Amino acid sequence: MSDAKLQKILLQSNDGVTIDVGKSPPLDIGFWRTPPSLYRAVAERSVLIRNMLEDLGDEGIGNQAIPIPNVNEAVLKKVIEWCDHHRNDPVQPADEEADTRKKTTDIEEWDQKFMQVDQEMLFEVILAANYLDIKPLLDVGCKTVANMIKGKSPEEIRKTFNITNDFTPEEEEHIRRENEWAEDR
Amino acid sequence: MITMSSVDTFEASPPPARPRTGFFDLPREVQREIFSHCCQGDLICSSLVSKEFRELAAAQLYRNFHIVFPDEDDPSYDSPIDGLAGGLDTFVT
Repeated sequence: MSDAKLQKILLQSNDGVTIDVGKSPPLDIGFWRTPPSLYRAVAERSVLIRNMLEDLGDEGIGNQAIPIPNVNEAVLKKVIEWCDHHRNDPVQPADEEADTRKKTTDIEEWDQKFMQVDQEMLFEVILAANYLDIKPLLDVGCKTVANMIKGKSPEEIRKTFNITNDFTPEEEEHIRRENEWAEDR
Repeated sequence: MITMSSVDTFEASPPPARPRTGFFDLPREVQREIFSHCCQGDLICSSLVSKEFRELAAAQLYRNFHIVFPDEDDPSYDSPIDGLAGGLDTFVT
């Protein structure tokens, strides 16, 4: 194993906090502490960070923190928590992934619990997963939001996402008629 | 009347809280991705929520577009041409 595998990986959030990928709580609890050799595996769940690490090279990384300008500390820690739990997941080939993930809202239990956060945090995590290019996390986030739509009436959906109905009664009626096309298919 | 102290108070007050991140802060492709996980019934309900939701739901609903000709015995039946035009109108809007 090369020294690079033992290197610390530091990320800097947009609010200026440096986070050690291996030391971020809740990873730092007793025996659950991530061994240094896994820092890289955790950080590399993000395609953006993986590419940055490759570009910088082992010497380039040194002890300097990688700036993550679009993500704040709380969200970055949450994302690292997910990456740590999923650090050993196999990387799915892109085309296979597209087939299996569509039209399902199944989410594994750990991820369901992970996503039990307030709506702002949920959307922030989705934004971060999109920016950091962590496809499986983005997928879990999108499915979580799809599940919040599931089985709800239009009014309940509006309440859930704080949306104003901007239709006139005529427009609403028009859409109701239009939707008959889509029903019974 | 605005006194000096009231101006000071105004300036010293904290800036308005940053608006909370919500559904519409997500990039369009992520919004579309969310709707790609919704079933037919949820898409139909979503299309009545608001104009933006309608656009997103319609993009999914009419991805696999079928034109259904109503039954001739159906009292609401007009003509297949109207039906086709209605379907195409829905498709392009």
